[in-house]
Amino acid sequence: MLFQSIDFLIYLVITFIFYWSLPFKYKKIFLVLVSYFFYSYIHQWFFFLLFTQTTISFFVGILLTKTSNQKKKIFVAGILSNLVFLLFFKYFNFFIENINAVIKMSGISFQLLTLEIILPIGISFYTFQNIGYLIDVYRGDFEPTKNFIDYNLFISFFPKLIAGPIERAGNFLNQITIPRIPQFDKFIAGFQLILWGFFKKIVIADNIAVIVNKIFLLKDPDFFIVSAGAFAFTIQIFADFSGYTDIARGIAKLFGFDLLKNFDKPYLAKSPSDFWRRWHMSLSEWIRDYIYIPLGGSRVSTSRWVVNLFITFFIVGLWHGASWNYIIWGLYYWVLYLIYRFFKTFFNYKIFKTKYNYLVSIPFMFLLTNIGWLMFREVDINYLLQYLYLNPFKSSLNNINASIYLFIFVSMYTLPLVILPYVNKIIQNIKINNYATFVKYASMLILLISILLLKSDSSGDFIYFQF
Amino acid sequence: MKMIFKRLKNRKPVIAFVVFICVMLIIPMLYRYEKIKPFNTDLLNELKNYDPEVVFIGNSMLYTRIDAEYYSQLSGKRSFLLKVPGLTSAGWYLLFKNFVTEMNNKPDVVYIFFRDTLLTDPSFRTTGKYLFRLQRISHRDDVVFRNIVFKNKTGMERFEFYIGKIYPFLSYKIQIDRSIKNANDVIANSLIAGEFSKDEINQLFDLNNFRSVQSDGENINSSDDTKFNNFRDRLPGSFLPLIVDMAKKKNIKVVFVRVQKRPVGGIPPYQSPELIEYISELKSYIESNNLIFYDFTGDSRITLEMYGSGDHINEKSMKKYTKLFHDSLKDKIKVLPKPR
Repeated sequence: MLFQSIDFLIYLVITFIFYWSLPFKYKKIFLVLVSYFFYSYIHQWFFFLLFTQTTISFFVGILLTKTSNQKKKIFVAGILSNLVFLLFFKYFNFFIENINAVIKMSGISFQLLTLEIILPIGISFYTFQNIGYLIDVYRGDFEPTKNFIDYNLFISFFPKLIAGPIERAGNFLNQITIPRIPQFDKFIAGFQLILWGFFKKIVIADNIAVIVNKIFLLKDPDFFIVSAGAFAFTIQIFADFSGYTDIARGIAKLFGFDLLKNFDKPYLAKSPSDFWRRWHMSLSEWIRDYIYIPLGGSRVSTSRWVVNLFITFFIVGLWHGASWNYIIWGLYYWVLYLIYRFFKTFFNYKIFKTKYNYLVSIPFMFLLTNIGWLMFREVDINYLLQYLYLNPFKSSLNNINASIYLFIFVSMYTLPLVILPYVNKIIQNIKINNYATFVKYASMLILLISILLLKSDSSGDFIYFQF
Repeated sequence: MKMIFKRLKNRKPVIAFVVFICVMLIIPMLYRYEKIKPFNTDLLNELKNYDPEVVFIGNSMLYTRIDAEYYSQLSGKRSFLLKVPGLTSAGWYLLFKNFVTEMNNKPDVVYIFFRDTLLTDPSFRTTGKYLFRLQRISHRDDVVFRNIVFKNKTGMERFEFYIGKIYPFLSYKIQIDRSIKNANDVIANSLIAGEFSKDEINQLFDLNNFRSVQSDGENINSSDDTKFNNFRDRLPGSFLPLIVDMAKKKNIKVVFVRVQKRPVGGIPPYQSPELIEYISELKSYIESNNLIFYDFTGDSRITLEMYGSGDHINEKSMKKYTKLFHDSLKDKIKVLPKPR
């Protein structure tokens, strides 16, 4: 069920009304049931997969507190049982295809068979939530829940089920047990987020997607056209994914929950590490806490740190999809981290310390981010390599003109992304109460009308649904 | 809802919200902006005055292929193109019903140019800018047309339709889209040395420049989608039976001409088994109603060099195509000229 479908609108209205009409003790079970319904609506078999992984993790969590001598084995079994599902459904064919490629290169005619596997939507997100929970329990950072319904709700809560944010047990499970009462302010905040999320998705991302899809289909684009495509995709993916997150967080608020923040102005990052503190924060924090730091983080020898960082970014890339371009994209950030660290350590450039360093560091990091998204978007490695070798001096005047046109087109749709958060801040800060309410409601109405007037004629899935 | 309301801690802002919504939603509704385009009587008069013996109905698949003047010379019959860019079966039905059947003298033959499964895809291209074009060729009492189009809309399209009824000002969307594009052009022109032409963008995104030859939106959304390939299921809810019935009632010879899509790698485009079956059933249906079906798909005389962008024929090959069309059908269409 797509958020931007009439089915979802009906589903949401009915769920909302029933949910707040039920006594507290029935609210949780109701939310679990509707969440499973939501997931099964996409594909009926997904229900069993989600339920199986959730059930295994729940009981492993309990077992971890009941045994001390077998604790490690149970923990490993719990992690592996989750990974098996993820590896099979998401990466099986990728591994087989790569093995086949190696076999073919060695001149053997034998080929392993690939399977026709449907990728269960959102599997990367809920598998990471299960694993995160087990690690927290194993480390003793979190007391495992004894309530099966609570745990099911933590994993399957429908607004975040498909594309996150990747919730932490500490944040979400604690909210489940607190009685919830309807709070009008929270509803309004939720509506605002939902509207803003839809604006980002169906006005900004979907209108830009038309250009992006065409550019990345071109047989022989030149430097400026590819640059326009990379810029367009940079804006599209942010509007698309942060739009989804806003809608998910907004819907969660309608049900009395607060989901984790996923973005913090990522394109204002000054360095790769700053970028990852701002982009897909629930994933980067998960990776940091459950992979990077357990590996030793940066408090190890330089060579070990380089390896730790490599593993971390390899996993970041692979998590996004079973394709080499995602791995290359992840490792690109690994290289950027090393270069930034190198310059900071050995050259200690004064520019890093000046007051106005952001005037250089932000645009430069934005440029690097664009190059990164180029790798992310282009699935065909041959084309990707072709792009990286393009010579700007060999562009035709026609294509330079066309790329300027495309840059302007994308920039026009980018303007609301830059302006509206500041306008929203001003609205939030209006102190005169009577006017504040009016301005808040008026801004919501204007946003709604803007969506209807500016929406793209073609709307596709959210990009992060495929991960 | 009552229970929810009861549980809300502070009711004042809720009441304020409800009042606000009522006021703000009612005001736009009061503005009865209805941008319904009037029926194009000029086109009807032009058709009547010209009094053609041969009428062609179609979209760009027609007017990039047939040169009416040249066809008139070849056939010795006055020919007229009833063309509306982009419109598909809903438009062809309306052109047939509100124009062809309204002529003082019925034409000897009417050719309808279509691609693959579009004759049984009634709601395709019936919203947004296409709706405006449909309004130009429909009357307010074209109930059948409206019902068919509406019945075939998706849930979201119906929702948007009702929202559009409540807020007629939303029909400004097309002008707003155009304004954005115009603003884009103005800014681009001010930054680019010399005059910028949109042709540069069109050239860039010409289908020949794509990695694998992709069809344009029309094909992607209809022909290649297997859900449209079941002819028997799609026929009853479509405009095709209505066109056929009208043709029989008014005794007008109609020829349904399936044009060939762009060849791929020098050979005619691939057709799935479902599509082949669909076309076979379509042909049987048309012929069982004593009308004519002609298929140009697979005709080796129509080469890749004759194509312009997408499935369109380029300008310099139009006459060649027209001649080819005339020669292919002259013996098959045996209709006696009607007394005039």
